[in-house]
Amino acid sequence: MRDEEIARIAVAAIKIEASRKPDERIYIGDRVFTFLEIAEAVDRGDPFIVEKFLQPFLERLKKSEAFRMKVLKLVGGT
Amino acid sequence: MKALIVAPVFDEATRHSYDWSRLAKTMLEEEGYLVHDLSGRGVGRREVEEAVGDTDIVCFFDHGDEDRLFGDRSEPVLDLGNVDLLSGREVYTMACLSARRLGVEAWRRGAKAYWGYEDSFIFTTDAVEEFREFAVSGLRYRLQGKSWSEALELARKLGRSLADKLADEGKIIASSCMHHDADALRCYDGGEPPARCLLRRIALKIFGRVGWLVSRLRGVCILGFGVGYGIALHDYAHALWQVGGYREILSFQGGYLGFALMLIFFILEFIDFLRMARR
Repeated sequence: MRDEEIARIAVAAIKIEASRKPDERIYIGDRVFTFLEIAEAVDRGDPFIVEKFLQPFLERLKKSEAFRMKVLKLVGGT
Repeated sequence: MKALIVAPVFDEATRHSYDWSRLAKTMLEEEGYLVHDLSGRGVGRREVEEAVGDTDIVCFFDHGDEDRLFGDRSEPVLDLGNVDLLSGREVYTMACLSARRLGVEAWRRGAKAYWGYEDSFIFTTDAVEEFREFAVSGLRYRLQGKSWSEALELARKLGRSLADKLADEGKIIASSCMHHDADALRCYDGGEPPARCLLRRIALKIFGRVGWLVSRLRGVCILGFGVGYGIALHDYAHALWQVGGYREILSFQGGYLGFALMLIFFILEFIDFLRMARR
């Protein structure tokens, strides 16, 4: 699977989960975001969120097939 | 046995870490530790320094940075300036980033173990219970009698299994964060912390663990001495070559005695430093 495709799936999955639980919060060090804010930050490529949240997410998506399958299930793929 | 728990509260995230520290406190008390608790408010540097006293284990639940642990929004309660206080103690933190420098420095200065994270500790509110379980897991394993190295392996394994469970439940954001935390977990308890600096890696390769005690200034001095020595020797040889060619260079010169003495005493001084460092 190509990197762009993986990134597209990741962003879609994050947006879907954020739309289901917009007010849940994520704490990254001393900064706090709602899931909705995280989805928006991922969408606009916020450097802090990309480095601290999206990159580890993408790495795991690339490396773990089991995780990839679960994420694909969430976004409706197979 | 005595333990110190520092769990300041001064923002949203620290309310959660304070909550997690209560579980750690209960675990310690159940194992018979006398717990000195500095928690639930902003905590000052001096009170932590005084409280460390003769504790066996120091637990810290709050924000951190590469070289410090915070007691409130701005004041570090432990940093490179007072890291010596951790010598001879086991240190358990859930603070972000502190395993990068503070943990390494604590280990270098004789802490029995330093538990911390090399990157940010990230958690989500839809899986608070799982993150709490993970955050205190190392301490739990240690109190069950595992070594710190074993506790590290078990905690990482637990983190990854919790990440899988969260993914199964469709909590993929929490799952990714949990997996990240498990990857960022470090424990220095006799194993070598990773050296980031190339010169440090070289020093460790040559001198073993003592390589951690070669200060940056000493490293620069050694490098400077080597370069200066080389330049002087080259220029001296060149001057001899101008006078009488290679025959002059290869013949005995008083200057060579000077160079030999410089080298011998430099090596002797360094051997003396290594002996002291080993002690």
